[in-house]
Amino acid sequence: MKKTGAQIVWESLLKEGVEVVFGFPGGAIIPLYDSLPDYPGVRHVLVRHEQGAAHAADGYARATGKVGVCMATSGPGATNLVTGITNAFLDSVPMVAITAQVARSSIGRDAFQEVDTTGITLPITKHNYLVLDTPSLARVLKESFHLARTGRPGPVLIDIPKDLFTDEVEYVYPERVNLAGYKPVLEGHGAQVKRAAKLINEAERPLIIAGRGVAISGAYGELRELAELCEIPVVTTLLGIGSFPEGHGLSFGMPGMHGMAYANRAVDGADLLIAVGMRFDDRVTGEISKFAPGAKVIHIDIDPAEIGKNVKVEVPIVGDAKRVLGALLKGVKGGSHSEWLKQLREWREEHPLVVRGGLELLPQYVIQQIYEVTRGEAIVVTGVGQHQMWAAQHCCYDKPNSLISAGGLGTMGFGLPASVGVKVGCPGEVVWCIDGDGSFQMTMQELGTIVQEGLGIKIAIINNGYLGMVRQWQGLFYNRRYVATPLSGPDFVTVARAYGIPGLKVTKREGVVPAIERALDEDGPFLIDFVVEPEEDVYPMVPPGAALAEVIEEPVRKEVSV
Amino acid sequence: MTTKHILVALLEDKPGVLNRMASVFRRRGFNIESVNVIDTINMGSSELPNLTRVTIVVSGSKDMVTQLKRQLEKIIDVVKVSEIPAQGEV
Repeated sequence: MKKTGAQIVWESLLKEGVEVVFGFPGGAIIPLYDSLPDYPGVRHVLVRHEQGAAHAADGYARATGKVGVCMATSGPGATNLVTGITNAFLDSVPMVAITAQVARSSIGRDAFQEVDTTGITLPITKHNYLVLDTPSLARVLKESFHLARTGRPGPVLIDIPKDLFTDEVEYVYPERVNLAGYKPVLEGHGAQVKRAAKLINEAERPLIIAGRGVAISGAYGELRELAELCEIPVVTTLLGIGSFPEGHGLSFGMPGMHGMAYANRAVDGADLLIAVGMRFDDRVTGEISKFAPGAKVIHIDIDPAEIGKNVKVEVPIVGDAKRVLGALLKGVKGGSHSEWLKQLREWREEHPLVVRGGLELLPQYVIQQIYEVTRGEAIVVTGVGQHQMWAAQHCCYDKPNSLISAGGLGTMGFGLPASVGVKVGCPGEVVWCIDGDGSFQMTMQELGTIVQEGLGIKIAIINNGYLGMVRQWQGLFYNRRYVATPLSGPDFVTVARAYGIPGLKVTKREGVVPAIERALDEDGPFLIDFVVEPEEDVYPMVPPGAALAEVIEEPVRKEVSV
Repeated sequence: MTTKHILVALLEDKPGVLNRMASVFRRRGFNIESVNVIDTINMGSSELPNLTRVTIVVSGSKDMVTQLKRQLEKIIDVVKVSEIPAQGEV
């Protein structure tokens, strides 16, 4: 049966199980939007800026495990998506981005709102397409969803010239894809799995480092079984948080630049690292030449290019984390490492996560109270900066995907639009967007989206009047010269009220819990502006270029020179 | 140890695929000594239709070349990458 290009897009999205798209229309994409009302099965969420569409699709994908879809028009619509697509690329988030392009007859003529979208997005997508004939459209859509969600997931962009949307062709949605150059390896190599099992059986101080790959492959059960069977302690990277319950006796927190001192000691003291679905980012390893000096490394990852990229690996296992761990479970004997665990517990007691005393409103206290009042049942979405690290440190995440945060790209402004996607994907969950005043001001126009879509998102702004993480570095490494980091802001409660969102400003400790309770009483969205101690720093901290063992645990309070 | 390596890549004959390869060299900082591109149809090979063969000579350590090979294999339109022995190595 003949269909227009626009109909082909919507029908193919429905065939892929898409229920919601996040987008913003414009000239070239009007004909695609024009046929949207014929497809009531697709919910369109109108964002206020295309970057928000990409972050919302990203948050939706992380929270639900489904492919997030965003769309934008040609030119500025496409370029505004770029930051959000890059963020998804760095964190392996399944996404399909659809952009309109100028009509085929105008391509290459610098037409109005023409930009080389596939050229721009080439290094930030898993794959991208410029579709130049309508009959290919169905195949390209099929391939895009397949590429986005399989193997190491990632964003795929489809650039569609305007005239294709109204062009009519025979429509048959392909049953399967045929990509000669794309065959992800899922099963771990048998001999390597055996070697890994042997190393695990022989190890005295083994440690599992779990990353986002565990969540992507749904390997929670296998990971926990392996840890319990062999009594192996587990640390999780920022994006791995929630892939192993933090309340579990074998959980030892997050290693890395702002990780717990005891987690970093664990990495430093281990004789075997079992790295699952993580990629040895420099924020996790510290100075790479001094990383885990005494440890052999088993690296399990679905992306062969990650193996050996940053650290030398004794046993590489390319495959899907769930299947590889499943195979490993059959090869390991099980055992106990009571001496090693005793050591780790001692380190945790001697070097706990410290929050200094004081009657000021401390940001860590605010985050701890959000966790307490929500009984750990909320999904926490963060922006990027100090508040993000405190949110990672001061809640105990027991559930998969209960912390949604921008890791690899470190994208300020991620929090609010990402929480839009999370709440759309998980309407029954309590969603808290914990943001900084700097990060929030980058994308706060999405308050409009929240109201228009009726999303009951709770927003906590950790307001210190600084671009805090940069200020912290200036304080520590740049002689306390706070250049361009003092940041004014609007009265956030008034801004929220202008959008029709109720809110409260909190400046004292005793106001924290009642404000959080008040936010939870509200069915709809609620904003709390927590005006916190302005110069609080994030600790522990491994200074850039230092080894994990050289962690600074406690702040050295500098006096202000007059 | 830096030595010469020869990589042979088979690519789907699609628009922009050389750009994708060049982007990997540039982005990951690999120095290419020579690149030779030939359409396999022009080689009279009937069993490999619609493929392009690219021969790359690169200087670097073994680990670096392994990483380059894997990065190239990640490109969806790259079907296969193999290393062939450089002259004097056989």
